[in-house]
Amino acid sequence: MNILGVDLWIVVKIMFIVGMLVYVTFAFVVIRQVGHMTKTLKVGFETPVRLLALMHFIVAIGLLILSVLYL
Amino acid sequence: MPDIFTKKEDTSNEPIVAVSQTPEQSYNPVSAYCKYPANVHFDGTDADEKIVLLLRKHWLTNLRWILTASVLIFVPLPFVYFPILNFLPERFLVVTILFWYLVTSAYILEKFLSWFFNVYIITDERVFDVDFYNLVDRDISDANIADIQDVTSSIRGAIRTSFDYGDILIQTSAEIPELDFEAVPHPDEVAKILRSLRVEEEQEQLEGRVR
Repeated sequence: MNILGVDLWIVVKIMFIVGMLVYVTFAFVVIRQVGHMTKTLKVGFETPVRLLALMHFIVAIGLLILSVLYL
Repeated sequence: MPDIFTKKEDTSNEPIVAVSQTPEQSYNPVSAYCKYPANVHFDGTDADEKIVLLLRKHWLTNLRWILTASVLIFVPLPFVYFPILNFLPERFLVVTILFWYLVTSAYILEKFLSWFFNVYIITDERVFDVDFYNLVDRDISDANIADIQDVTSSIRGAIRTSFDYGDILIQTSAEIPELDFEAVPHPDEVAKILRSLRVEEEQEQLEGRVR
């Protein structure tokens, strides 16, 4: 699909990648914040909480790579 | 012949254990009401300060976001089974659905962490209110037990009455005039513990044992 000689899907792909880059930054901030909070408050449930934040970050990076290679 | 009237045992001579001297107990780390929790450490407390209560909002307050998340999980299903987004190339459809689930997982994570880290801590010396608004904003405020002037507990509504949770408003003479504990379990018991701690603190001040 072309609009003014530009492939629309390329534009969508670039928008998607930019969105994913923003999302990965957010996921990284989440890891930092969770790390900070688990240092502030230790209740014996730090490892699962940190793992959840880390998994979220890894999945975000995975989707960024997928959108670069697959789209 | 069975005794109808029996003399109650005289407990007046038994030593009264102060609230702050009660031994630590094992607890569930994701519980909303932890009394004398063992192995809990909060950065703001002193080395000899003992945590008496660790409170979170009642688990029932999570019900709204759990229901919302359940709906969000099923949102992409119609797009898979019905050809609404047929104009999209398949690769875009797949990545869009994956992105949707990533955002949904972020929503669940954010809501859980907001509940988990939004804690109210009562120690034998101070009261802490840790507000974890979202994944990037948080506030920690505290007041000395000695500065507490008034404690008001309130349970309003049928659901809160049924599940025994409500709000506690702590008015202080400190820099932060009010601390608000929202939707905590057993608010009357919490208010009672705070009163006992205030009495203990006053007693310590009278005896000149102030830390």
